[in-house]
Amino acid sequence: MSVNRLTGALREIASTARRHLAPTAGASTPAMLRIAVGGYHLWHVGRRRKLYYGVHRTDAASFDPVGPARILRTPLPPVIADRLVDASLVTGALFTAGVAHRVVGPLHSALQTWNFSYRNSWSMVFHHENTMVLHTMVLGAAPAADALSLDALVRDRTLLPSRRSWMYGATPTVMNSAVAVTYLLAGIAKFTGGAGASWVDGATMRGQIAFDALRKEMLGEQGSPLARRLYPYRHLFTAMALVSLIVEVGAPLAVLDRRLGWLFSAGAFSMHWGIKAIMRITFPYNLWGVLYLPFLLMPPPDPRR
Amino acid sequence: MDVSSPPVPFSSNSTIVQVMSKEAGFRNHSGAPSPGASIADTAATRMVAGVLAGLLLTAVALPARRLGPAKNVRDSFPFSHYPMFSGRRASHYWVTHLLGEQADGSVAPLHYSYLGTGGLNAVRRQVRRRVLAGDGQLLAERAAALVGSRDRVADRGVMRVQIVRGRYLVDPFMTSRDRSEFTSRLDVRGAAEVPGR
Repeated sequence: MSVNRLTGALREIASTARRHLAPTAGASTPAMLRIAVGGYHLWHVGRRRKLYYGVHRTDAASFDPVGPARILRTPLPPVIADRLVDASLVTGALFTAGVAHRVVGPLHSALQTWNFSYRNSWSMVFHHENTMVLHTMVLGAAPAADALSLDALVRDRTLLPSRRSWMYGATPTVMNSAVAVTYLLAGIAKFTGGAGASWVDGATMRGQIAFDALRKEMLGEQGSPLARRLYPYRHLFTAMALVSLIVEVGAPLAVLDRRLGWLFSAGAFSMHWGIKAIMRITFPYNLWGVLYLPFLLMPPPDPRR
Repeated sequence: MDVSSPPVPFSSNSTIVQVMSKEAGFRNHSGAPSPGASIADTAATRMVAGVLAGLLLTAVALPARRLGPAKNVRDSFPFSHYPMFSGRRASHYWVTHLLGEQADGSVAPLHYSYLGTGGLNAVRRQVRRRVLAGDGQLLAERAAALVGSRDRVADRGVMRVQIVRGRYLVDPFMTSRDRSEFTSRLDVRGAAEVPGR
């Protein structure tokens, strides 16, 4: 193949990738995502504030830092940790309203990452907060306050300026890519966790559900009655294991085509509601659908020129 | 910054950057040139955006190094290897928890909030560690004091609190309500009377 043909083919691939992954979109696309993700942060942290205060006062022997919190050898004074949580509510409100986004976006993202890392340093890692943090990182760095924001009102004298850019289309793509990798890792983990390919027979999932019901009941929580009712039906767990693997391992395809993204969102959303019904494990960011909004708001690819 | 200016021509040799440069001029519905994002659309911006996106996705993917059957691999945040639902499970399970003893000698689990704050899994992890470290009696005394002071209706008949490490059989647990059928071992690590009862 001549150099010219190779260059032409690479250009074609690059053009196709750009049309699909960074399509031209209006400023309202990342703006709606900013409001949804920022609003969710306010709700999530606001209602757990007292819980976090209690965690900050837990016995220091339980402190096992993860992520950025590993820079600490001992816990922070509880009052400092409390004020950092409060500060993230303030930055969360400014982020959601779109005030001074170039400064507030990265600041809010940093505070949120720190606070959740610090909170997870006292317990097992809660996986429902990872994707919210990843989404906020992307939105904090992107021009996500060019519409539906105070910044837009000051700059363009309107909440909905007629701005269009590939940056607005690339924002949900990067958010979706990060989420797709997390699902892919969760899928691969099931094959490498000891059961190997036999994970797909559903026995491991069935065992996990039984373990979860057992420990909940012994710790005084009500287990799901559905778990006991479904437990005898082994084939049902095979079907559920298969579906969850298809959703998780197939997640990267959802980034490439927005219709696949919608299909993935429907599958993953249903999966998390199923987990809630059977195990009473709540992934609120997923259950509220905020996680899947960037898939739903992904603009269509640009036309060929 | 003049946000309505057309895209700045590139000097980069990158194919995708050249493609983006050619395709980056937009028009609004009336056919007039449409202003771009508030961040200037330059070669440097695109380079920074690409590098940041690449770094983020690499950071999200890197915990794959921790995947494997080995137990006790500490998970991290926000970049996790998502080990949930992946580990093979045995036919039994050890749980450290509270039991409340009634006047007639019957026992039933008590709520974990008598043991600490932070949610079920956080408390479960903390309590297991502390009981293994020999703090069982202390935890039982604190829990008994809380049962007395909180005075929950459901726990008013509890006279004595025990902290135990129980070995439970999973299959019988899921198919039976009789504790004796699914309890294979119960080690009492601390016990205390509820004050005033």
